[in-house]
Amino acid sequence: MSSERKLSLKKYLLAFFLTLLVFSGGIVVGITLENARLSSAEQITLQEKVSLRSLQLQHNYIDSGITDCKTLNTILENNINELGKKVSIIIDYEKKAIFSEEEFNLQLQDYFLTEIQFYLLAQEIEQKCPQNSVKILYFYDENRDDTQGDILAYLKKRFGNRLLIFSLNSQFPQEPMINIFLTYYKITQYPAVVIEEEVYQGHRTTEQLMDDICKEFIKMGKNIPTDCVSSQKN
Amino acid sequence: MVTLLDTVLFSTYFILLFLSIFWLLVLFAPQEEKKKKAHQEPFFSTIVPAYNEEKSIRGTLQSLVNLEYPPEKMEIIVVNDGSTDQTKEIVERFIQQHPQRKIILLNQRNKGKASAMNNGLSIVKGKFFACLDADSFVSSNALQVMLPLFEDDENVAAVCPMIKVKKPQSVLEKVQWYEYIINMFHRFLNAKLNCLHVTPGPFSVYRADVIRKIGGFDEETITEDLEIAIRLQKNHYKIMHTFEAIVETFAPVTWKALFRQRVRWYKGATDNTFRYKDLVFNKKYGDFGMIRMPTIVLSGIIAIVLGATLLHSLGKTIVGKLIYYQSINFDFLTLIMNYRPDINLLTLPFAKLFIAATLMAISFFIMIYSHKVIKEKITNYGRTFLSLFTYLLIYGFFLTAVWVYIGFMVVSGKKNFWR
Repeated sequence: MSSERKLSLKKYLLAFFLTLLVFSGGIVVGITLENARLSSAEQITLQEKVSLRSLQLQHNYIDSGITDCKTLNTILENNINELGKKVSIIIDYEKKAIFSEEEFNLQLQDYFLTEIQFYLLAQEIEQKCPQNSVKILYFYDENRDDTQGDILAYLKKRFGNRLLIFSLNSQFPQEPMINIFLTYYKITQYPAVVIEEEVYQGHRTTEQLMDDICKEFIKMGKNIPTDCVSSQKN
Repeated sequence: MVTLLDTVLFSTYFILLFLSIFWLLVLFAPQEEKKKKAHQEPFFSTIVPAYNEEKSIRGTLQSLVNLEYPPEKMEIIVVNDGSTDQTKEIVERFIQQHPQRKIILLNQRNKGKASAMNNGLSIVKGKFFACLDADSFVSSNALQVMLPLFEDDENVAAVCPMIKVKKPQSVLEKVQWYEYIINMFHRFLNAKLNCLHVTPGPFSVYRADVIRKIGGFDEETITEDLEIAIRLQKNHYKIMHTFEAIVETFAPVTWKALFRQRVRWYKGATDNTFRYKDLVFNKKYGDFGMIRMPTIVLSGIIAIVLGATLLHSLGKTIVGKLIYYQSINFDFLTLIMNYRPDINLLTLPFAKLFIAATLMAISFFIMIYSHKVIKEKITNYGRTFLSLFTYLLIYGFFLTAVWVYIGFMVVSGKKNFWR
């Protein structure tokens, strides 16, 4: 009986080194991908800023008749639709970020500011042009699982361009402007939605939101969406 | 942001990658050619423990009689472990039909396989003996290729054969056929480092005086073939493996039977790892202590942690979706009619995809290489696509369920319910 046991120390070390090498390769690929995501996020924010500036300039020429309300509303609606889609992309990038979380947060902050500017501009346009759509400010809490955002996305599919949703992260500490909104609307509970200055705190069901939105369309008095007409009849 | 799932996935991936690379280094390491000594033919004994084996015992005994070995240098000891069927009568008839062979029948009341083995060992005359489960069939050349391996080294205490599933009929049997081939390949790698931790019931050959010296088979454990192998390793003996001797065995034909079998195997492995915990990460036992012992239970821990994390993540997604669909009154029509594909490649989970792809590639490599080493074709016995699909994508979940069940047994202190 022998007590000499072989230990393949060289193989352990080589295997560990090769594993580290594969992992390092993975980390390099990860950093490259994250940089690509960061560039993509910057591109998205830049595009939205350019659209915003263009819309602001066009808005200045309504009174002179160079631009008309119909065109302006269409551009606004299209831009806000894009905003909704793109903010989810940046949030997705930010969640995946490992190495550049800070940079993604900055991008997100920039994006939320652009969104707020769009919201304010939409309010200004309303003063000069007949209102065609319902605006919703949606404050979510990223630390809570909630289907409110999904329900709003579903309603967006039903009402299309006539529903303008601006979603803001209520727990985003870097941006004081979000806090100003929360204080202004006296929001303490999340999720919260502000439908044309009407504040609703806590989770709203699809039916409740439909009613709230339809109420606003009815207030507008014309072009009431068919979904609202049928729900009214019911 | 790194989530719990990410941490579990990356840690598991690191460990699996390390182990895969390590075993690849073992596979491709040059090995010294062993000179085969002139073959002597020592007296040889085979113990066949049998409990209610009326369907297969005759075939098992016939395969032993057919061994290419001088009949006068061989004895077969059948230990009837209190069978309640026709096992005893069939063996008696077989003895009458083969008067020229030395076949002994021992009857004992039902005490379990290890007790039957010890009972047989007490009258073994051979320098070497094998255990053959009564549902297994040995190839006629087995002793010619296994016994010379003992002659090379006095320190070799056991030699194990290649085990295959006998004529797989169903998809489940074919899946196990794949699994056995891959396990054999893994055993081949382990044997290179003297890291075998099981001497399987189907025709493992032992040096009789060594087994007597270390106290025979343990009658308390539910996996005596694993316990004896770890005890041999603890006493610094060698266990070897050969692909040239083949034993075919019947595999469980239902998922329930397979589940019970695997719970017994893995629970036995867990119990014995705890029992011999002083070997774990102990340099004194070389590679066996450093890599084999820790990975016996590590695979179970990885299965449980990974399975639980994936299930938690999947469950959360499914519940979230269900709540959402319920909140919109299952209005799928609106969702479908307004669906706009918005493909952004940068949002794909590349890290997870890469991990899945490398692990799949490693699985495929092992699958193909093991068949090459064992000289079998993947397409043998048909049902290839369905069996491969089940083996590669579903079987892992089944084994995870087995480990989860064992986890509950360990936590609750539940005893085994097998005889």
